[in-house]
Amino acid sequence: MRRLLAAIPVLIVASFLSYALVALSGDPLEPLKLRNPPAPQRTIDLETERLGLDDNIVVRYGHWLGGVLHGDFGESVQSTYDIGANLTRATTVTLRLVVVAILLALVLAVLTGVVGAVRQYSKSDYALTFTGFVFLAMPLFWVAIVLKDLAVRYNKATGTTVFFTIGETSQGYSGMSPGAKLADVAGHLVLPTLALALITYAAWSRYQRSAVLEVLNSDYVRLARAKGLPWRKVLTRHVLRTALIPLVTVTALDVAGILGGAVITETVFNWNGLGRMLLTGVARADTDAVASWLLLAGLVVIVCNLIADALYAVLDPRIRHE
Amino acid sequence: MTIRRLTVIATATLLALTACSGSESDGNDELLGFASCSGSPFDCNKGETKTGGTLVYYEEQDRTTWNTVSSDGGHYVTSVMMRPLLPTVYYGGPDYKPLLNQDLMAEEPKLASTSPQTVVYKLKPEAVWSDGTPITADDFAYQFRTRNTRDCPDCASSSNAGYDLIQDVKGADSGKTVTVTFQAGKVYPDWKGLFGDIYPAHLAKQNGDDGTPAGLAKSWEWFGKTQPTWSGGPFRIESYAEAQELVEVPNPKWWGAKPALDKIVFKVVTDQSSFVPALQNSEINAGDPQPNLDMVTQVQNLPDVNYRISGGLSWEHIDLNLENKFLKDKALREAIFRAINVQGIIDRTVGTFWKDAKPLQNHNFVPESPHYKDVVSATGAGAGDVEKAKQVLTAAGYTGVGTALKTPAGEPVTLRMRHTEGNVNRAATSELVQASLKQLGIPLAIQTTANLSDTTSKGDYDLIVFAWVQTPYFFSGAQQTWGKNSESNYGHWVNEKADAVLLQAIQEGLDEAKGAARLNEADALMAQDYYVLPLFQRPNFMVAQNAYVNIRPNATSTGPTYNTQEWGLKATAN
Repeated sequence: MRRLLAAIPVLIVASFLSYALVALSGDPLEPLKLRNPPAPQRTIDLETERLGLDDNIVVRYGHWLGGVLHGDFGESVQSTYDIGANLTRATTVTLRLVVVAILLALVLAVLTGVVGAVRQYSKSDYALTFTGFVFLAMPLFWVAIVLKDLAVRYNKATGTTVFFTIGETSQGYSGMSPGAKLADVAGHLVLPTLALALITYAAWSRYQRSAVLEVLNSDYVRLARAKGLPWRKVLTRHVLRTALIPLVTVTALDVAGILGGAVITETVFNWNGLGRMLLTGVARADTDAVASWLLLAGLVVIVCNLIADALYAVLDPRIRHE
Repeated sequence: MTIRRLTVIATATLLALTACSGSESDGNDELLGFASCSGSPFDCNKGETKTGGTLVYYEEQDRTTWNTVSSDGGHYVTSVMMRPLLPTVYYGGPDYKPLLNQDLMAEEPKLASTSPQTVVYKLKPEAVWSDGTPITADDFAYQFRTRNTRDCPDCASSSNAGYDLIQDVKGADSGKTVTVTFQAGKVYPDWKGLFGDIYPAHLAKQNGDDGTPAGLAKSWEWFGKTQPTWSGGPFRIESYAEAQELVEVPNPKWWGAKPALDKIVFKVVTDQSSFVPALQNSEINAGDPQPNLDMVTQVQNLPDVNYRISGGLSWEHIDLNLENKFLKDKALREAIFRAINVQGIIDRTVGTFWKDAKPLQNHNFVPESPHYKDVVSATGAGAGDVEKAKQVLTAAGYTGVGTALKTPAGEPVTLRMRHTEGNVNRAATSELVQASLKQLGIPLAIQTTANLSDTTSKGDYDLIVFAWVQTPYFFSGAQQTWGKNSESNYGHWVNEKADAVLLQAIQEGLDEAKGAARLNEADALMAQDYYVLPLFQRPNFMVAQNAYVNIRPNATSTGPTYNTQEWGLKATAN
């Protein structure tokens, strides 16, 4: 609770700075002002008033923050755009991508990390290390484009449409049978999830490998083996559990980065999630929408750090006892 | 299974997938559909259709409003998506000229009088909204009242051009004859641009319009915020998912030829690089994306696809600020414009993927217009003739020509050029201008702007590169952009003679050819003043799978959806 309270002033300062930066980055009425034939001055005045552009940044920020506390996320540059509703909808879309990608990346990282550590300097270790470094070095958008290309080639070669390259679902999704819906969601989910997971797992597997190696060389593992405990039991109960602690820390810290990755992934795969919401907001110089987005991202990072704290306690009894 | 075996299988799969690449046809066969579009803009890709099918159309943005003529409107994508619903008197046609909507109008509107200007429209008796209510003069009057800014000051309209000059709109013959009378002494030669995107007045009445300004504003806002269940065109909206897709199906009350397609889906795809894979994967079937070198190259290599790059109505130009103390001197302006190589700029920008791109030589018309006339070449502007430019400066008494230019009074000449932040083509243009001016001995600083409207309206530049968008209704645009008292004349060019000719052009504009000739006269005077250097038209890129016919490029703000009722799958398609 103390940490949660401490995060509030951080959030306020961060949200003000981001609000001010977006507000100063461009004129949201520029497209209206540059229109040919020109928009009537009365129209420009009405829009200026609606968006509060005549007020200074502090007043505008105050109005926005007051609104947020009452569940109103402010006025979008596009008058028909409901920021709050879009934030909720986009969050659910992005969560689907991020949660599945994190889970997949964790499984891959733990598996490859453990195999690499247990078979240190073997051919499989070298192969996994090489693969990890390849994904570590590749930019996310490139992985996404390569996956798309392979998927299109697969579809063409087989004459099917197993993989989809744009969107979260197909047109006519609502009228599909439950089975078809599941296949459709999976067909849309597999490529973006894989792209995000591959880039994410690469770094994590290196942490996991180091952590497992460190634990494997510790005295208590040597003692456990000397006492005749089965190797599998030593590995799962004594090594892996301890070696997961650094990965939990890294995962919590990386959530902000993964959200950033989700922005790119969503853009390339045309998902209508938080990524597109941010990019559209920035393109429109839509201050209230971008500030609301950044506030939510800040909250997510704080919550993830709290979850990591809770997981430490689960994994490490010493923390639990303290 | 060992890791080695898994690796072998994975590698083999990857190699197999890579080997299954699309066939590498040379693309020439695929040009056939749009190949004749420059000569026959209404007949290219024409063919018999079969009933049924869906066409997924690519859009780079979502619609911004349901009211295309509100402050959120005036937006190309919104207009393209809403076009199949909205009755319009004239479209912008594929030949860049006004195109009469023959489904709505019983005959070509008549200019019944020139003083006061009076236009009579005859609507088809069978034209109705999707609830069966006839489309009548009331709908025209609603458009007039909401957009003239007098009857409804709070109806934030995207433009009041022309509507502010109308005296009244009256109906006869059960509303099927509409008479529009302009104010005495006022002339509006662009009258064909009026009454585009007509909204149903009877629904306005049900949703706020009680004849008061507040009621009008309420109904106007209602149209902006409420997804239409109504239609006055060949299609109606079936469903909409924000920022994802808009699905349209045939309007059962449509009185014209029955649409061939069962469904048109406007799919919002914000990432340009997704266009080609989605087209390959048949997740989209057609679109008119902003082209770039990668995209054009990839599309050229796709089988079964028609594509065409043509000149659009948006054009790039370099403007000088005549308030700048150096640029007040015509000799310096002439030298600058003569030194700039427009073809060189094209070669570095749009010319990389559009081989037909040429320097634009007029400020009001594009080469596709019958009124286009080269008024720039004769002035030497844009020729990249540095030696001639140096001669002009030397003759005018400048020193340090080619090294460090000084005015005849001995002051060193320094200038600053601005362009929009993040615009690669404009950045390249600025760099090329910088290199040209360096040869004259002029140091040119390049500065970006994140707020183009602010920069231009405040005149915070010496040179600037940006774009204007033309329409088939050119008179008021010319007056607005070049008139000496206009707020859009950002560089403050004043030429009394040209201004008089511009006004004359408006007065004589009801005779289009005569008015256009006057505009060219005024334009030649501007070119001789070396104020604005036209560069090139921005390209329009139309792509469609060749299984679809009757879909064709339209570079005007109307876009390709002017004839959705004709779109369809080729009768012989699988």
